[in-house]
Amino acid sequence: MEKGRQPGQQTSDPSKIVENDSGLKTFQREETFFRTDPIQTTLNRQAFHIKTLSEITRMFKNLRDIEKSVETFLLFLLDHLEIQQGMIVLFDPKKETSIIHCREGENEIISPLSEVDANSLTAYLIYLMKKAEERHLPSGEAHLFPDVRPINLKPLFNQDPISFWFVFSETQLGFVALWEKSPLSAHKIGEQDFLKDLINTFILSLERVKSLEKVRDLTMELEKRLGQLQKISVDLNVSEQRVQGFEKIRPKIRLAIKKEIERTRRISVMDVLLIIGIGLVLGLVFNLINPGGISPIPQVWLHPSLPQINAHLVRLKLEADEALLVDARPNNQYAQKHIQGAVNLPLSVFDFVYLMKFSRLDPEQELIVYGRNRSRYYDQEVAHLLTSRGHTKVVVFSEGLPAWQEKGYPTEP
Amino acid sequence: MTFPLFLKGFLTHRYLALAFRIYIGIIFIYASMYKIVYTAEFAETIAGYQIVPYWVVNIMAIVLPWIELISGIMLIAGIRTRSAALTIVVLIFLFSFAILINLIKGSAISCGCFHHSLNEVMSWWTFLRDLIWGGMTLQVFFFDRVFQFEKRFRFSKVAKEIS
Repeated sequence: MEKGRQPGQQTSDPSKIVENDSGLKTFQREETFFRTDPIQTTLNRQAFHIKTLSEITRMFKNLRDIEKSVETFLLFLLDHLEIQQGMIVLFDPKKETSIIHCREGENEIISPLSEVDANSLTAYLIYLMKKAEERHLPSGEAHLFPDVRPINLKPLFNQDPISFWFVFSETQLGFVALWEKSPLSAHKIGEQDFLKDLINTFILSLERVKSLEKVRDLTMELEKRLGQLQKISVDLNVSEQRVQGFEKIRPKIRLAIKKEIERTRRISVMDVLLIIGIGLVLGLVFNLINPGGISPIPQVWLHPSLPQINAHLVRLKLEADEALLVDARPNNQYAQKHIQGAVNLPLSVFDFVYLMKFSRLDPEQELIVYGRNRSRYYDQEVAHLLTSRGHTKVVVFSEGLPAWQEKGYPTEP
Repeated sequence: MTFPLFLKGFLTHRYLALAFRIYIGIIFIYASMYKIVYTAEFAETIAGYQIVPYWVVNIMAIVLPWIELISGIMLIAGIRTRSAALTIVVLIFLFSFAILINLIKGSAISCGCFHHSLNEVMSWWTFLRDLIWGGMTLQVFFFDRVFQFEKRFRFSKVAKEIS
């Protein structure tokens, strides 16, 4: 507080030195001072109030933390009001957390209240809050703490503090206690209002900080949720794709199963090829070991080819009696029709007939063999057998009976 | 009205197909046995038909009886019956065609199907008999449903469960 001017103080006022007889004037002047001084003091005080308020507003502009705000406010109060001891309690009944700051001068006092005191204080505050609600007192404003004290703060610093309580954010309670050196008796009401204003400003800032905190928390929560949603969306996409894949596969699987069921009804080229192939293999193998087996390769391909002859030459040779005509066909065919003058030497009874008829023949004797059909070349086979018996001049008349008949040459029977 | 329906039901019945299957299978197995052992005689028979060229005769005489045997076994066992039936149908129609040609030509040869009939000359009854057998095999081809080897793998049961 600025030092106010006391009435009756001596001044080196030139007007006083000049006016010698102005005891009255001096008195008048002093009276003016006496009258204007309190006004000056009041003005000074009010200037101080306003300055303090603007300073506190400026100070809280940048604070973002509630705990820090409380501490800063307490320091500010003690500093500007030149109070040595003070305490602030902030209490959240829902979360049951409380912030308590208590300072004496330079030192911070930790745990100034015992647990019992703290509980009874908070209980009383809650009671006060309810009462305020009933009476529709506006929240966000500081109220003077009533004389009814639930706890005794006197032992702390050996006197009763001046204390206020307030509600802010509609749910949280605050309690401010200030111990002053000298009791402010004369301008207690004014100072009370000033203190109230200070605390109200503090409450406003606190609410602002709280809102900021809330916004920050909400933003973080939102971001977290957003992240979760994005992840879910990605998972959904993946699941949807998989489901689509399955949906596509399902008819294919159905079709495959149906085809398998129908497998027994199907015929395939492989089956037939398999039958023929296995038959081929088994047949050839069995043929090898079978004593009655035949050669799969036609004999006629293996033998060296013999000279051929045509019908006209055969006729000439027959007439000249140079060659012997052999009919190689089976007996019944020979009996049906044969070339006139031919001897029957069937392939099936070759040895026997050869022995009977041909064994005494001259090996140089020319032999003409005929008799073949589409499926059997009797003539070549018999001719080969004849050459293997030693006959040197064996000729094959390949065109056979049909050509002979065409030429109109004689046939028997 | 009901008689043709009954006839149709009888003719297309799966158990009739089974009976035909076993019958034709036995016939073919029995017929093949002689031909497998007496290959030379069978070659002579084939040559007697005078239908195929000379270089086919021997191979045919070696392989054909085994095809008959395998197809007969498959028919009886129920393995790929449709394919086996198809093979036999083709064989039967080949034989019928050969018999027909020779009947028209008038060549007096034996059918050569079974060894007991080697001395019998073929006649139009032979042709008819072969046609009947062909018809039976066709019925098997279209209507055979039971006692099939592959169905023993119970895939159809599993498949029904899945679908």
